[in-house]
Amino acid sequence: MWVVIYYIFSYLVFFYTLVAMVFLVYLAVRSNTAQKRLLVNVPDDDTIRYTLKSSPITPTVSIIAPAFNEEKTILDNVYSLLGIYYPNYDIIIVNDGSKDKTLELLIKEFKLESIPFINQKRVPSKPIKAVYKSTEERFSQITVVDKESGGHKADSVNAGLNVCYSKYFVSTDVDCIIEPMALYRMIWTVINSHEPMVGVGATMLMLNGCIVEDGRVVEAKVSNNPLPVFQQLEYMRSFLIGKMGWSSINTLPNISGGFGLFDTEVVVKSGGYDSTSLAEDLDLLMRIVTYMENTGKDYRLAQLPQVCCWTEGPYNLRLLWRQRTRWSRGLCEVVSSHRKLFFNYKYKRMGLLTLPYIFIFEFLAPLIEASGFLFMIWLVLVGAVNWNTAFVIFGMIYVFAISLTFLVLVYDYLIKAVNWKSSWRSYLKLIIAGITEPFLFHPFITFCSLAGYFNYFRNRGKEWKTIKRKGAKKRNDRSGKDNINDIPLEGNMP
Amino acid sequence: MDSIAEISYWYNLALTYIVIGITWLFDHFRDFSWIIRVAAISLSISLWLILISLYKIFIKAFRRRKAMKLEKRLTERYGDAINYILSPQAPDKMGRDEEMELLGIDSTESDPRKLLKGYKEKLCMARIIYKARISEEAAVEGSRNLHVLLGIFGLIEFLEEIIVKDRLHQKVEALLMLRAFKAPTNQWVANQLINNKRRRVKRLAMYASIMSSANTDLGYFESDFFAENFCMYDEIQLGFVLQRRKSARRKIPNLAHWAVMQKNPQTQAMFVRMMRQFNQKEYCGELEDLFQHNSDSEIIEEIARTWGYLKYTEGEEQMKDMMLTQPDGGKVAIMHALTRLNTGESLNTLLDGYKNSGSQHVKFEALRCIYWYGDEGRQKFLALKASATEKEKPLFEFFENPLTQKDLPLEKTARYHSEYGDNLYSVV
Repeated sequence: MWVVIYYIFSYLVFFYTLVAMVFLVYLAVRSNTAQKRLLVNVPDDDTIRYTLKSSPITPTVSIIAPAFNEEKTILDNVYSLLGIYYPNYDIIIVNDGSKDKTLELLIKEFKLESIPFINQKRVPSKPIKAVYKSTEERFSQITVVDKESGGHKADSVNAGLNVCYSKYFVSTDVDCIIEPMALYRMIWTVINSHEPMVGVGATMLMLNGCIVEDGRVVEAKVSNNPLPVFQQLEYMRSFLIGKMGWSSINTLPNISGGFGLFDTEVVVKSGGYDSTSLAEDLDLLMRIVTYMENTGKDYRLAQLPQVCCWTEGPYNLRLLWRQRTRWSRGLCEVVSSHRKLFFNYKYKRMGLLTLPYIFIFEFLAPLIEASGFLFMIWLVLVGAVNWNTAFVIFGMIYVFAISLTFLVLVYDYLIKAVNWKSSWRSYLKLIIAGITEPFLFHPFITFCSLAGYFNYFRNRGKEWKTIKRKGAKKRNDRSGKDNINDIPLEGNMP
Repeated sequence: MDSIAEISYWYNLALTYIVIGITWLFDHFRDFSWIIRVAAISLSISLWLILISLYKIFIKAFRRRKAMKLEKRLTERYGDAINYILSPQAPDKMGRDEEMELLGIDSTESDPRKLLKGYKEKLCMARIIYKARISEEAAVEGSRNLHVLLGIFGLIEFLEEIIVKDRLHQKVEALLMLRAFKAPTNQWVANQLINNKRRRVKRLAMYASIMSSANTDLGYFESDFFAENFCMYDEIQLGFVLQRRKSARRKIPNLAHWAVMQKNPQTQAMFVRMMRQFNQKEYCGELEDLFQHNSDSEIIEEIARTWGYLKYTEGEEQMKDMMLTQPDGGKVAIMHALTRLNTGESLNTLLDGYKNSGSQHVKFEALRCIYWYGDEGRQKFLALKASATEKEKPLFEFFENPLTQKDLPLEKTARYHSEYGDNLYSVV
């Protein structure tokens, strides 16, 4: 009996690993194809700007940025948003019931006045208390929505959607730093699509270690703290291989909550964000896909390889634990609430390929990894390990993981996703992270995922806990000491 | 050896080596279990992937460094002079000798084109000039002094050569450059590419042809060229090249005629929209049939907007007659158009829209139109406000507030949808 279990489990894990590797190679190849297509279809930034700026039909975009207790950084962040290059955009700051002076500072700085407000109530959100507009022409693109606290970012974005008049909207966090060309690049993708583009994602990287000046990243660097470096690599793999690969076959499973552009009308008709979900971005994509497929409309979801947004990642294990357990709990919620999409031919490639992949190779992976680890310990204890075979299989997995790291660095370099300052040093740090990650970072992440699943099944950890941020290094603040602002904002799932 | 044969050769060679490698590995691990064999092959492939990645990074880094050095060298040598020559501060219609002097080139030089050696230097110089050309300041001023500058380095001929011989993305880049340079030989270039099987190249070539063609006999739009795979980029590009035509004082073709000739509703709507951009009021009458006998609401909305924007008062009665039979979007577009016409004869139609419509969206927009319908409309608005309930009053205040007063939208927006029910009027 045990021998049968032994063989079944061994072969199962081996096949599981092989299929996962085949999928990753497939995604990497597809990603490469998508990048080559991009090389032909997307001109340089100057041409994009030149073309869209002079056109009278350049679509309107609203940037919806929720803010909660951000008095220390809110003004810098809003000025950063005002510095984005795009001819036709407005900014909607949603004050999610801040208890500090966030709102007062905004009112004073931008000369805001309360206006009569028509609440369209297109999507559910906590009641809006007031809407403010600036009395000064130069700030006329700013709208501030003051609402009761909903406790979740999704609720704030929904409130923003209720006052959004634009054809497209960008969902972001107010503490994220958006590249000035980001909107141009995303809209370029929209206007070049032959099918209605309902969502566009872009690569988002760690702000940790970068130098910021006037709300812009002026020096892109990899942090000296190893934890953000591991996350950097993880994000790069996720965006440049995973999402780019899925995007090339129009089955993008997720557009990051930190920065994503959506068709306003489609999101509203899909019901907006689920304001109770801990993985609101993944949930939104599921809703959009459900809506579009159920109504039989053509649609397209795309991912851009260029870095359009910078976000600060957790810088210690406690914060990382908090973030990752929340993500994995959110994944459980999404798998549970959208289970009808999985393995459902009605949802085409999304239902038959991407979502099964997410279920088998992302949702089940921590469980299989953990059980495999325990199985290995048991085999060692009973002395049943064939060490030669074990080393070869381990070598295969390890070298494959490292080769993916190298591949992602090649992609990053070829498409110039990031203009790294002293690039060889940054790449060296990322290579070292790639070599050590399977031993140092990955086991911890697996453990976080298991804890998240456990929380879900025990119905715990529902609350959206805040994550403390250090804030980016500023040009004039290079004393080596980071200014520690307790900015309670959320990390963004890649 | 042409490029396809070359690629095929390298592909077959790589495939042969891969097959030899895998066979060798299988052979070498003959006595091992198949798990070991599969693992060994995966491991070897991964190792090769790492090596190839490193090789690619080094090669690319080397080439990029070289290209940066080249760009830096050329920019240092010619950059300031080029920026000045293309700037509005430079005297108009500078001579060749004058420009050469500014560039620091000896005017006795028999063939200054030889100053740039090889393909890369010429491409780099073309890019430098292109960037200077599309910079905000230079773009406004048109193409003053540009063609002489291009002629000095022989770049027009060079870009045309790329279009004939090079790979796809270089072709596209060269075509974009030539268009930005408004090169006189665009027609020839376009003819070279108009039958290219790549849709993107073909369309870019067509736009180049429209921009340079002297007459208005442009058959592309009477064909079914746009029948499928149309995207907003095409609309932007077409608007762009027609604008250029207009700036060059060439005649803009009759867009209403093109709209009528098209079969694809999306393309028809595009041409109707473009009529606004080019103020083609004289052709508005040609849209009457399309307006009356069309089932596509988007076209009707666009025609109404165009008539309103271009003040085509002859269409007022038709719009009033059609209004009640339209869906909400069409009603709103017609109300906006009537408000823009502002002949004083449509206030009752707007009031009907406000009082009798079952849709909150239409009522809201009707009230907005009444507010903007001249003095008469403003008085009516105040009268309605005086008789409004306490719940409705903030809605009137919304329109009166200077911070929320928005003029009538000309484009379709995502705002206010009737299906969201009666909560629409919930005013904070």
